[in-house]
Amino acid sequence: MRRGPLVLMLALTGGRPAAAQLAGRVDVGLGGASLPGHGQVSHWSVAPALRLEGMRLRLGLSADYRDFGRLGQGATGSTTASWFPTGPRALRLELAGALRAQGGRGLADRAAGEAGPRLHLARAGRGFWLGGFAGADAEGPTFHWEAAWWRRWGAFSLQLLGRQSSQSVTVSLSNPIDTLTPLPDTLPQRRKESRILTSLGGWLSWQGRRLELRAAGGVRLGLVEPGLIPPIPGDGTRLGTAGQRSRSEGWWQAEAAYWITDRVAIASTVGREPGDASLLTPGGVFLRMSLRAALGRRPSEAVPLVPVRGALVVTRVNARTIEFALPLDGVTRVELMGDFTDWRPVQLEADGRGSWRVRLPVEPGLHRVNVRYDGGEWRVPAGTRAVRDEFGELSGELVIGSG
Amino acid sequence: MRRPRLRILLALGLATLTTGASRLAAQDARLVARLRPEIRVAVDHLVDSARAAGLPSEPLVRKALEGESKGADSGRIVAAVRTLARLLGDARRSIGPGASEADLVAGAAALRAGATSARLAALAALRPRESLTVPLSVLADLLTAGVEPERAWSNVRDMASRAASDAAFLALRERLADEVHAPLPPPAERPPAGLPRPAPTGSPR
Repeated sequence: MRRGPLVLMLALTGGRPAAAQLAGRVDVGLGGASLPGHGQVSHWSVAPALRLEGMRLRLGLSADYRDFGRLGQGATGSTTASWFPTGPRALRLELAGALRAQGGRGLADRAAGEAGPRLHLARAGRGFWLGGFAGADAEGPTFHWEAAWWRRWGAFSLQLLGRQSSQSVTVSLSNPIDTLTPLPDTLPQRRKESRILTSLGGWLSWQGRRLELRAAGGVRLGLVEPGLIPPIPGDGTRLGTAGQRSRSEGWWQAEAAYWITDRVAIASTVGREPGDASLLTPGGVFLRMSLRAALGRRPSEAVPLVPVRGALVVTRVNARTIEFALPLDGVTRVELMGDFTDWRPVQLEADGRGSWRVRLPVEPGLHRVNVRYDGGEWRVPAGTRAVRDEFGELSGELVIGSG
Repeated sequence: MRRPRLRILLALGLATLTTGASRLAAQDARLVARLRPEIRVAVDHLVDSARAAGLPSEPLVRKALEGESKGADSGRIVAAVRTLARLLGDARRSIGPGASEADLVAGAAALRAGATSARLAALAALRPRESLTVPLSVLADLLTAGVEPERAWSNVRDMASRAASDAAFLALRERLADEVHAPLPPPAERPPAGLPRPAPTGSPR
């Protein structure tokens, strides 16, 4: 590892690099979309994403570039940052910020940002938070509050989130949106309008050893006052229909990814994206097939954060012998090595009941261990403490007692 | 005149053969089989020095084998073995000459994780007759996991002074380390971003 990233990770994690997870991926794909005013269009896309998570800080970067050929190109990007000033407690404060931007042919060059606190009430595997944020976009200052509930069940995770935003917009009627309709002289030239947008959504995901599934859906209520929405630069279309003061807009998304190797997956996403009032992007139905490359190991396998199937179970058989068991499906060979095997791979035997087992002489004390499946990379077994060893590698650490 | 010279030569030859044979016997067969010669020479030297100082050699051999199995370069392997030898020596000075190999390994791990020699000595004083392996292992593990040093030490010390069992120390490890390793709450999800989209054909630019 080069010194720069190491220093950064040490700074983020308080000197414990094994506690930091860096996960990244790039999706390169082909897709189609049905857009207002265009009908069905095809595109190719590149969507990189990067996430760094330490014990108190989380950073996320993502972008989505889509090229519609001669019709145009556009990209959206976002970055998020969260800092947790206190350590793990039942009540935990998060200071969060987010920036989103877009640009390209056929898109308004716009940016929006927000920052604020969230207060988390969390227990093992479940939690609730309340947050309040202030920000700004091209139309002016924005405020929103949100409430969310989440739960993890092993490889499943669920998040339900409600969010309401408000924005006070000064509308200049002397510069009407619809230039073909002259305004009567008796109308005021400027007026203040309030836009209130309520979003409700749910996200469910499941992560297996090879397969990842994700489904999400929601609704936006009181989208905006369509008569006040500036047109999309270049084509004059708007997000709403004139005459409606508000309406609801549903959205949904389903995604499946299958990891062919530890670093390459095929992914398919289909859904209906909502419009974005801050960035003036319209919604539409889309489908995308992509090849996904992971930059580094998949996080859930590198450092397990939650109890998952596949956690190493250590049982004392007698005074000198320990049984190691790994409940695992879908693999044909499981090996383990540690200081007690002189760092030589030892093969586990399938017990016919969905677990792999081996009995080895192990003295009480602190030990390090790694496992691998089907001859792949050596990994930290779930259920052990991930530590970075003297050789720059991650090992699982476990303490064996005498009784 | 000839016979005494022959006897001396024979004696020297025998001594050389004996010394060489004992040195070969002292070399660990695992190191011979798995380490490249240039690394083995350096590791052998460290192992011999540790043995001469009355320190256990097995942890050093295993550390070298760990480096070899993980593909580490020679410098890193030798440095890791040298550091461990130093820590084993420090641990023995803190715990006392009667410490077992497992106690010393756990003590070295605790020192590497940030425990002080004074705390190792205090723990040894609290448990003069019992094994220190599990308490020291738990202390090392808690420090590695990121538990605040004062908190980790005070909990381990209190349990040691109550002559707690290994199971109780392991339960302490789970309790404290789970607090630290509680994952961050998940990031707030957002609806998918609006689609980047092209302008209609023929629209003004």
